[in-house]
Amino acid sequence: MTPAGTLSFLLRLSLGGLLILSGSMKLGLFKALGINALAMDPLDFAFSIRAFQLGLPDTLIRVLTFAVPWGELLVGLLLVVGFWARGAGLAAAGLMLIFIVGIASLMLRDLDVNCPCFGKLKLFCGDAPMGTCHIIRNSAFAIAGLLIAILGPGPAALDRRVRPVPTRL
Amino acid sequence: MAANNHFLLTLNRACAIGVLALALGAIHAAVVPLPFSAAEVVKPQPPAPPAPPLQGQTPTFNPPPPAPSAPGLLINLPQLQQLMAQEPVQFVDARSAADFATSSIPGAVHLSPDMFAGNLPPAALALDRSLPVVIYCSGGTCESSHLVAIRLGQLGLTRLHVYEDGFDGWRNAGLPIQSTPGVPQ
Repeated sequence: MTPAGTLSFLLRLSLGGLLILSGSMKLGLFKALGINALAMDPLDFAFSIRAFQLGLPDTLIRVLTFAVPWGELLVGLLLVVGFWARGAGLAAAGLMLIFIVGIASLMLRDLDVNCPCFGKLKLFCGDAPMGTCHIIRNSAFAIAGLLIAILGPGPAALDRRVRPVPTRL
Repeated sequence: MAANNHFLLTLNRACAIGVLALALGAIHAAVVPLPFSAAEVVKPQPPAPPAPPLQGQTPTFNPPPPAPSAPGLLINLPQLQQLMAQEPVQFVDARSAADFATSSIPGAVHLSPDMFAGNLPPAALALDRSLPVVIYCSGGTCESSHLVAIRLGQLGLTRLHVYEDGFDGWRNAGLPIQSTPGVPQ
C-alpha cells in the first residue's frame, strides 16, 4: 500500500462518513429512528436555506432542502465503498465550494444564520453563526475531496474490482 | 490525451451524481410537502353557528352585529397591543437561549426551533390553547418565529400570531423588558 493510497483511503472513509452523517441528519432519518441526539427535521434545513435571503422561489428551496442532503448521502456512500471515488471526490469538492460561496455571501451582507450542518452536534465550529470557521472547515473538506479525485480511490475500493470504462479518443 | 479523458470521465461522474441528487430531491420534495408558513398548518376554526331563537320568543330581524376582525398570523405592535387589551397573551421567545437569557418580553417562555428536534419541549405542551400565543424573534428578517409558529401549529394550536417587529421593535418602542441580573445586554 503506497502512502498516497493510504491517504486517499483514510480521506475517503472520514469525508464519506461525515457526509453520510450530515445527509442522514438533514433528511430526518435520525428523527424518524428516535435518536434525539442526532435528530433534525428537514424543515429546519429549509428555513436555513431561506435565511440566506437569495431570493430563491419556495419551490426551489423545497427541492434544495432534499437535494443537498441526498447529494451528501450519495457522495458519502460512494466514497466509503470506493465506487466512482474520483467523481464522488470532485462532487464533494463542488458541494463544499457552493457552501463556501454561500457562507461568504452571508458574511458580506452581515447576516447571522446558524449552521444546520451537523444538527445538534455542532461539529468543529460550535454554536456560532456561519462565518470564518465554517469556511475553513468546508475548505478542508473541499481539499480532501480534490485529493481523492487526484489520488484515486486507494485500497479497499469497489473501483478496483470493476473493469475501468474504456474511453474513446 | 489520456489524462484529459480521465479528467473528463471524473467530471462526468461528478455531474451525474449532482443530477441524480437533484432528481432525488425533486421527487422527495413532491412526496413530502414542507409548510413554509404557519397558515399552511393551522386549521381555521369555523365560525360559531348563530344561537337558535328561544321557544316563545319572537324572532327579531335585527342584523347581527359585525364580528370583530380577528388579527391574522402576522401582527404589528398596534395589533399586539389591541390583543393584549382584550385578553391575556402568551409570549413565546424564539431567539437563541443566550439572547433569551439576556432579556426578553416579560412573561415570555423560551422555545427556539432546535428545541423541537427531539422530544417535544414541555413549554410547548404547557401553552394554553384557548389563549392567543404571540411568537417573536429579533425582528426584521429573522425566521425562527415563523418556524416555531409552524411547529406549534403542527401541535394543534390555532391562536398563533407572529409579532413581526420582534424583540427589537418591542424594546425600541420603550415597552418593558425582563432582564436577567448580571447578564450584560
